[in-house]
Amino acid sequence: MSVVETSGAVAIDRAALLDMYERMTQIRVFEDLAGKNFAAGLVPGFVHLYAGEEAVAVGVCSQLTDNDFITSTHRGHGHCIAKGVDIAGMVAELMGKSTGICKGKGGSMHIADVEKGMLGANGIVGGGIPLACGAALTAKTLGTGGVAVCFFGDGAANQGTFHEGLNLAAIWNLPVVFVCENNGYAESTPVRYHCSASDIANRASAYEIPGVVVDGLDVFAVYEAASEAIARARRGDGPSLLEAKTYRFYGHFQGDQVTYRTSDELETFKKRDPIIALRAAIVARGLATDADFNAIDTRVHQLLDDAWIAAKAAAFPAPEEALTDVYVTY
Amino acid sequence: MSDAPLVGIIAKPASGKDIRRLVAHGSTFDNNEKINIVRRALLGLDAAGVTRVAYLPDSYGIVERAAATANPRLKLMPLAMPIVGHASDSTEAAQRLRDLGAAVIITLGGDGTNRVVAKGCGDVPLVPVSTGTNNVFPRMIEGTLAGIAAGLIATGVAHNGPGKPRVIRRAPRLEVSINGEPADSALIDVVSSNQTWIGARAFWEPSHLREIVLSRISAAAIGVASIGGALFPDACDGCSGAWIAVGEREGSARTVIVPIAPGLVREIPVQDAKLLAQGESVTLGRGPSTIALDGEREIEITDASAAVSVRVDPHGPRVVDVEAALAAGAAAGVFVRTRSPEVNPTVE
Repeated sequence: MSVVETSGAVAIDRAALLDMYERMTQIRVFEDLAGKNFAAGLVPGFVHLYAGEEAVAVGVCSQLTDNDFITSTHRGHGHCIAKGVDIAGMVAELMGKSTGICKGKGGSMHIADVEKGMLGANGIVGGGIPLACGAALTAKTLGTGGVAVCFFGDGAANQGTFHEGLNLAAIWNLPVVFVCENNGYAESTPVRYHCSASDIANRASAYEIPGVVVDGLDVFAVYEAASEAIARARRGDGPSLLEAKTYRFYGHFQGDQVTYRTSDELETFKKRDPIIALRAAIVARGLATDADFNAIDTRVHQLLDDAWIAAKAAAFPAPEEALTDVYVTY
Repeated sequence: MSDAPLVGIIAKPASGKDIRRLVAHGSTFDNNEKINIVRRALLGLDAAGVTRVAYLPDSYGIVERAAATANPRLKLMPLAMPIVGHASDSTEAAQRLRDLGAAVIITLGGDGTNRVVAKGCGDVPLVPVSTGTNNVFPRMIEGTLAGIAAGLIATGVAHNGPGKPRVIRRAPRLEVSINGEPADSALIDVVSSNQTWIGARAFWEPSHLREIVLSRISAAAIGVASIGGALFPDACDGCSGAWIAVGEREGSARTVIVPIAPGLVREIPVQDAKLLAQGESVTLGRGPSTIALDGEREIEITDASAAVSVRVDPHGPRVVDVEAALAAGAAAGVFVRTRSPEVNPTVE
């Protein structure tokens, strides 16, 4: 008998755990304030908030570098923060200010920062899937060692781009990880009404790639599964599909009356708040104290408060710059 | 016909999709195939004369979808229970089936599914059909045969009796206690791992193994149970359990080469190992760890002083031997119909 050694499973140290906690808290506070300031009329357009789903973005992106690409969705703030996009620049972008990360011309649904490997939030449902395949093809062709991670929702799993993208990634053996954030609803439609598969991960088998279901409210579960999927992509073993079962604490968009789900359901999921669960897990292991967490929370609130103050004080883009950076000539 | 025998079905939609598709070569067991198996089982039950079936009303509607194109003569009754989408649904369903007087329960899932069913089914015998990943407890059985076998048990054709081959056997299980208090149970294996997070639940990484307790010894097993089979070739399956300490230690020269997960054959160093008599307990080494039950990390031990002990309990769930049950059916003549002379098939 002989054996083939494979990669070992992951371990997460204290610093990494606290960093994940801080990133998840940054997303939560960012979203809470975005919702509040949207209601106050400070944010043009729509905002779709990611609160509740933080464990997915952070569990995945904490294992990526600036050399790796991600594509995102209309609910993209969490992905941006997890990928390291400047938070003050994001707040200014939401307000459409010239200090925004896209100089105020992208807004909530088109935040992008190519330097950080964040290829953009995307107003088109399922629009990020072909883009991730393209980014993965770039990484493979140029031999950068990078991978592409594509975040999309349960609704996007019914779009043609999903099926085309998985097929293309499979036949070209692309270094891409498809991460389906199944939060239970495509806008207001429950998954069981819009999707023929009880688990979207099942659809991977049609393209002969691995498909895994993971608890999207548990950052450890996401981290572990993503670690294996990312390592697989980096090794050149091809794409995989992770389905993270998660939940959004806010409605589909700010202003959504959320008549399609019960308050009991929301409360049930809030009891499984991924940030509270992570904090409790760290405390239970004696790796940090309440004082440590309070210091992080204070730092995050200060960061966001400062960002909003700066964004409010910043200027809108000048009218003569309306077409600058908007179109690209090839 | 309320006295007609009742058969239970617990088909868990979540099994067969864990991380072992990424780290090993586990097959993705989609729900459509589960529907097919349940459909065949329903047809088998019907052929065996069963008229009443109660089932776990899962979120995907596996049994309803199976019944939509199966034989409509069966009366199908969803258990009136809340579904929370957790493994506890299966335990709850098993308890309710037991309370309703089910004669037998067909399960679809892996070791994990049967573990939680066994926590609720009491002495109601199980027909476990394998649809999970690392399966030692359930076997790969054709659904129609599983249905017929369950039907033969339910209708009393196949039963344990004096002078007859046993058609229902008592399986062992492992009782896990923490600081002397019962904590949980497993059917096949309990693993203490140096991972301190439950994370993606499935256990597959041998470098994290510390200690293993097995309820059964079989070389024809997948997962950590295969280690016992490799170490104790002369032990009889079902007579004893085993305790195995894993890891490198000075002076330990023994390794085993075993299928630790589907398609994942690994070489694992063994420090120490011994057989455990039925009823015997072993206390595991202390320290922060995760306890995996039948292949899934379930318990996080964060208190370094906690004492985790595991007892080999011979009184686990009762399990139908499908081959023996079908043989009993054949012996009873239920598969043979002798035509009476006045009936001419060509006239019908």
